[in-house]
Amino acid sequence: MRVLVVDDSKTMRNIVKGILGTIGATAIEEAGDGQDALSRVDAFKPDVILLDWNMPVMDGITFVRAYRAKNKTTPIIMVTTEAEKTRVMEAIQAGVNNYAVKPFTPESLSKVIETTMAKAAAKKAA
Amino acid sequence: MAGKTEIKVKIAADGSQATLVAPPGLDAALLKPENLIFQVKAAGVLIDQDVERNVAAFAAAYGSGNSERSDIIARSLPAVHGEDGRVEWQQGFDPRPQHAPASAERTDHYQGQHYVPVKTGDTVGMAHGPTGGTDGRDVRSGVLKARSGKPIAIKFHPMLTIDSGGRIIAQADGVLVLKDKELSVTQSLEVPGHVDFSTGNIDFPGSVTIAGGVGSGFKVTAGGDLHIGGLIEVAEIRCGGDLIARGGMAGNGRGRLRVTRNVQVVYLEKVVGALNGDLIVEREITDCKLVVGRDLRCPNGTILGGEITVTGALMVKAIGSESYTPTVIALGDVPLLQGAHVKVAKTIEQINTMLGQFAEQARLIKLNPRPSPADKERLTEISYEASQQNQELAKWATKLSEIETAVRTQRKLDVSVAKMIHPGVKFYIGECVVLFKTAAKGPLWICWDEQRHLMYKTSSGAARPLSEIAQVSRGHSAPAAEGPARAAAA
Repeated sequence: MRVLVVDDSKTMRNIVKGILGTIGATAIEEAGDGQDALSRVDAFKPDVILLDWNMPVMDGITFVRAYRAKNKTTPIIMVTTEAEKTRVMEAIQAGVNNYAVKPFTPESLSKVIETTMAKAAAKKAA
Repeated sequence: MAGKTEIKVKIAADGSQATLVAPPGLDAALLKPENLIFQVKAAGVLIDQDVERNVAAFAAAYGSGNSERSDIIARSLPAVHGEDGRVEWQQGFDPRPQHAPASAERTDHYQGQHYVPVKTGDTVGMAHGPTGGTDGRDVRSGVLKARSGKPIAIKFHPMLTIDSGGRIIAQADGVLVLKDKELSVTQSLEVPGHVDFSTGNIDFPGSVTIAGGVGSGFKVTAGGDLHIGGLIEVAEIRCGGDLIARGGMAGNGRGRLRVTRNVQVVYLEKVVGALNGDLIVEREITDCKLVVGRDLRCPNGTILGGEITVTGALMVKAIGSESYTPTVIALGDVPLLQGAHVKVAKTIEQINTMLGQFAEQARLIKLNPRPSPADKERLTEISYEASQQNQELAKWATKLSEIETAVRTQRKLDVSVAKMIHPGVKFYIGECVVLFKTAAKGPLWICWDEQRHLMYKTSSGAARPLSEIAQVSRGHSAPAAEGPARAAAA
């Protein structure tokens, strides 16, 4: 599983990387904001993108809109402190596949990733 | 000719230089360069461009000839002698003695041979052969012969080869030794005599055999087994395998012993040490502070004075003396694992403290009904760090459990005394102190019964409470004076 982790906090990226290491990620690419992520995504070709919402330069929701304009299938999981219903709806409408609210535990994030990947695989098979 | 003209050409006896000398007041015609060159040539000096230039300069400088002039107009070309052959050691493979970087006036005479471990195929250095040098010439064009360099002063054992590029390559695993100008790879070291100032300290990664003894103040470190043929004086012995000593060790309170496996020795006197395996002593153990990782067998000797901790069985002819020599023996304990147990338990305690701190931090953040995004991120960090620490905790808890199992398995009480336990002998057995106030005649055995009561047996009877022949009291810890031996163990 190839994972692109987009978060402006290096600590948070390291935490997510640590969790990904326990669920079989084979390659992990990091980006510090949405624009950085856009510049890496074509070359890296991730299987899933873990995305923070609030970031400098380009925030997560803007990245989703820009990325979905050219890629409809790669699952995106928003990993954020934005837990209000309107925000969640906004993200889903923009093209986010799943949502993990901070604070999360390693187990809860792992579960969200696994569920998302299983759904994506089922969709692909269909 | 020179006498008539009064111009002289002086040539040094070794032909290294030629000097032109002209007295004052000479006719200018005599000082024409072509005349001077003629004279210089006639004197046997090789004429080249330098000489011609120097002669012309001499003529010009002579001028009106008011004073005598003397200039060197030719010099020899010295021979360039060849360089001696040498070995350029690869970094980390120089087997020459490495003296302590003390001041130039101070040399550590205890410092001995330096040994370098090598593996097959390692390039230990480059061999540079001698060079021939370049001949020179004197002012008369005579040859000044260059001296060729001497061959490399080191012989190479067949366990080392030199390839066409000059690389010195080890052909076997072992230790690189440069001894008596021979470079070799050896798996074991033999010291033909004593360890003294002629050998210096011994520090060898493999097995070591010392034909003689070990002098006071010297250190012997062997990565493998160590055989010592003679007396070990106030020395420090460290051995990664078995130590077999054909003599005794007289440590005078400062001799140190640290052995990873078993020790076999004739006697031990005033030695501080620890070993992980069995200790077999032919004669007596006098005033020693020892920690024995397994059994202590001294079936024909006496333990007299000192403090000894034995993890396994104790078999001895006699303990103590008629003169009430205080002799302390700790049994039923696993001192070499206790250190590890304490360390692991401390680590677990530290992790638990950290987890407690994480929990408290999380609790304080959660007191806020509307935590900020920063709070939420911090909670995620805490959750992750706690999860990591919990994994560590599980690892260390397993380790602790393994150590405790090992302690339970290794701990035993099996004392066999063939002849006598003298008054003044004290056993620490678990939490009990057993003091012999009167002599107990052997053969006798001390052990636990099924309820872990201290019992003794003689050859004639059934097991009886040990309190019948010695004073048994509870609630005491093992002797604090084990310290030095434990330090040696560490």
